[in-house]
Amino acid sequence: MSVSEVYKSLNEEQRRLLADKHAKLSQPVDDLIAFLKPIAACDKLGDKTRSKFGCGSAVAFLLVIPFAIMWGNGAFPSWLGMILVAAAVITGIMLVRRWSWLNKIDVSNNLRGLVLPVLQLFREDFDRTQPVQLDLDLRPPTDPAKQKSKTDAYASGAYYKIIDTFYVDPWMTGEAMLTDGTRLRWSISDSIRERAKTKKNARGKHKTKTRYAKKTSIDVEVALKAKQYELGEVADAEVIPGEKKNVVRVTRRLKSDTLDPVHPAAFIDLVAGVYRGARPVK
Amino acid sequence: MNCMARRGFLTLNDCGNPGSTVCATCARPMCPEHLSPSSGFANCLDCGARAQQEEGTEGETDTEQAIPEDVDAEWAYGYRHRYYGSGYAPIYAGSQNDRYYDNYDTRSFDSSVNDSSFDETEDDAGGGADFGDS
Repeated sequence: MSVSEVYKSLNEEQRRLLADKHAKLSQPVDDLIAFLKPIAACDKLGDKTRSKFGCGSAVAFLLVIPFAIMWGNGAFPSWLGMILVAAAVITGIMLVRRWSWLNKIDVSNNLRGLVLPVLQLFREDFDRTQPVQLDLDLRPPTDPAKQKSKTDAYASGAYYKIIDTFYVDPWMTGEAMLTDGTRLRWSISDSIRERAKTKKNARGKHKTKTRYAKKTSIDVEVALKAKQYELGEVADAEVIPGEKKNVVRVTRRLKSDTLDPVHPAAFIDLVAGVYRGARPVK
Repeated sequence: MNCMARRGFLTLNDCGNPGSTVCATCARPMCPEHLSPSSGFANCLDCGARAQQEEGTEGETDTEQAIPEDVDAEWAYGYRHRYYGSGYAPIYAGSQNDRYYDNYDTRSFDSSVNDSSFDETEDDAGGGADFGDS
């Protein structure tokens, strides 16, 4: 299926999420997965075809030059030269429009890389009769709206101009009731440093490289029923004992040098770590 | 007979749905939800997960393997199988004495149904786990 076909198969609400890239969802887990999966499928196809359209449009516009020269030199009959130049221009414009549309409906890879895997893994743990609350911000992590600060240009080593831009991306919060009566809350936030470094190479050309550093903070709160679980030792946890529920808060911070989503294992391990420390009351 | 699959990841529960098909590998009754689509619904998701692990040549218990493009129940059961193999002992809140899951180190609300505590003479031991809202 093409991206257009997948996009056309989406309902109004799914298309809105692709356009706005932000949604507050409250649905039982099966409905949530059914809602998000087609969006992820559309995004996956979009990612695969976007670069083809981008390269295709560049090639089409580049072809205009030799066609125009050959047309001017009389290498083609006048009518053929005009058709070839016009065809290259029209193809280029169409491909650029397509590429631009694909950019507009592109959402963060966190949806495919973390949200859906976690929902699928915990699907049978979530209480099917209760809604899972999800607040998702699927704009790119370096969206201008997420920019917090930017340094003035400075020099270091071979690089005569370095500019650091910092972004904060609190892209997901969620809450769900589990089948054992446990309440699970979580939030995930990325802090990103984008470093654009420019240097002059041996040939005198100015080259700019962009490097990323990402810190991800995963905060999880697990409220276990006091009558069902006794709390043992949970590493690096804040425990708030209660009459009905014992609340355990755990945090994990991860560093990465790419903008790729963190592996769902980071989230799974945090929640499972709390259950490891919980003793079922006999 | 009811589906013998155990649902869940953090805690395990009996599926409880009516079993409509018998798994071609383990011969346990299964409901449609717990049959593996890639086997043509002939095998259960658990047997599919075990087969996946046997086919893998390395990283058999690696829970940080790359996430496939399309995650589904088959992937989730495969991941669960690897995760349990990496040392996580889920809490079993059901009441079926199914030796199929003996290789999982499970914990229970009632020690009489803790899989790891079964001995050879207690195959038919009953005991319902008390997991209701008490």
